[in-house]
Amino acid sequence: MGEWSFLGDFLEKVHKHSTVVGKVWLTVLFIFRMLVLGTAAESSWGDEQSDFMCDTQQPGCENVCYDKAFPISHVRFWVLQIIFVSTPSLVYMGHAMHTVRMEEKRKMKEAELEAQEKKNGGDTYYQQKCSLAEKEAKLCGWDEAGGQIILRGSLLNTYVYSILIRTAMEVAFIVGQYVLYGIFLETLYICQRAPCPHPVNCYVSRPTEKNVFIVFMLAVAVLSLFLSLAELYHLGWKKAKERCSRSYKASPSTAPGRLESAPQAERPQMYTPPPDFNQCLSSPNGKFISPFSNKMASQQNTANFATERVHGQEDAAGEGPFIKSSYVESPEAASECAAPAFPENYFSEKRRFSKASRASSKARSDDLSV
Amino acid sequence: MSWVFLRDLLSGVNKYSTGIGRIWVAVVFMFRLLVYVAAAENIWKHEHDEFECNIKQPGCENVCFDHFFPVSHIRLWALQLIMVSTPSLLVVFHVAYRENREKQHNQKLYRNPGKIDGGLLYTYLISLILKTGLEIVFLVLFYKLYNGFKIPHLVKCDIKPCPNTVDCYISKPTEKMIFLYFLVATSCLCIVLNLSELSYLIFKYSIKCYLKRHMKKHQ
Repeated sequence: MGEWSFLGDFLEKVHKHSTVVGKVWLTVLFIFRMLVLGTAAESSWGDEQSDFMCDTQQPGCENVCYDKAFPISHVRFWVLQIIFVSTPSLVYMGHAMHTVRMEEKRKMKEAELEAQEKKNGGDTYYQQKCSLAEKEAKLCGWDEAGGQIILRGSLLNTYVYSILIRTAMEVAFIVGQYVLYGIFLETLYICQRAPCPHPVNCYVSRPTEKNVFIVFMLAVAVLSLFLSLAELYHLGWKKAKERCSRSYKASPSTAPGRLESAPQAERPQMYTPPPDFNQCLSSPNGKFISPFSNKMASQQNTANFATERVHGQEDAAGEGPFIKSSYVESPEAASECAAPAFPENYFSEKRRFSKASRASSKARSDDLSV
Repeated sequence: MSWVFLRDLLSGVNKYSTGIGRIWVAVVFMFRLLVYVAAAENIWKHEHDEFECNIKQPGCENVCFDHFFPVSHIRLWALQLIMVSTPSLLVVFHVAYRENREKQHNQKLYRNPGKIDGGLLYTYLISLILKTGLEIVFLVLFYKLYNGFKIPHLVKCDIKPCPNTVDCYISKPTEKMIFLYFLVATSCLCIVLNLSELSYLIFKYSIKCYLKRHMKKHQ
């Protein structure tokens, strides 16, 4: 099990930057795949060759028959499956880290520029550059005022592609396992390969126990596939909904000037970064606490709906994000566990949406929301 | 002593690497170290016990196994992983040296001790060249030692004390071959990453140099 800590540490970081469904997928991966593989399955397959018995005394016959029966052992197959299925998430995490790093560099440059300009006294040029840089950052996915990573543009594309590739890998490995071994392992394997002098009966060790694990791992793979598809659907549905609401709301009265100023004024008010899940468990505000974050989920979701509505107006003019999601990166924001400051019409929206949206996304408060 | 040691070393390297360097570290962790520890080790665990020759002559199996596997694949793989990760330590040492110097003189000698410029750039380039070189050396070694990257299921052996040419059967040849190809593929990927990082750094810093000279000329 210790060997999986290599991957576990990487995936912990991915856990932070994922959506609700993504977190569930990662939990399934950790507990039902890595843990089960590392603890139970490995020992079940431990004596797979030593206890693979063929009904012959011919030296070498067992070796070749075992090699023919199991070109690759189930356990090794599952190890490769876990690695390949986790890799797209790591690519996404790399991109997210890159975004954070670019933002930090940008802030450093800005600070240097500010210091320089203050010396020279050229305010307007600095302000222009600052606003340009901010717009650049927003395109990349960084919200200056809130201090969060916003999933939009290329980062969101990376996320979607990672899910797509992950889904493809799952399907490939499930099909591969079916092609190689079928679903169940037979007790008896009839082998005809040199140097075996004739068709030989070979007996697999612990076939029933192995079948239990095979079926279990197959079920977990199908569940992971389902979760990936659900996440894709969730992302796609939000995008379609946003596009619909945008097309309804596109009205001539909306002046571009108002659009530009609206986000700046409203952003600090419309949502505050959701607090860290662990800290919220101990919050005295009973309304937002639950042992399993379901209320956090609806709170987060409705906050995100409010976010999307406001952003929807702003994006009608511009290139607009595919889907917005917010995540708290700064520790100061994460420590705020009190009730977030929602805009005035938040609660009416919340009620409206909580009735309309039946989707029970069991989100945690620090989820990447879409 | 376990692989956690190597992992901790490489995590330190990650801080002072370029983007491509970080991808290289991730590839080494995920596709090489993890696969080695979680899968490959177990395949080669009982390779000697499961190596079987069609003869009752005592000692024949031992000499045949020794002849065909002078160094086991898995041990070469482990050596390769260690050797290939070690040049990155040069960068870590150089940064530590810089920080130590700053402490000794009690003043800020470098804008950022971890930034790849000046002497650290040359150290970084040397570490990249060493890494690439070692990868190629090990791939060639694998190829030469085992006559290509194939693992046959049957080998013929006629070394004393075997009285005649004896058939010897290797255990799990297909599985071993799959992971050998995996090893070769990840090695090649790492070579490509190292070479692209090398060319990127050389290109970037020569442009910087050229621009500096150009500015100086104009001034």
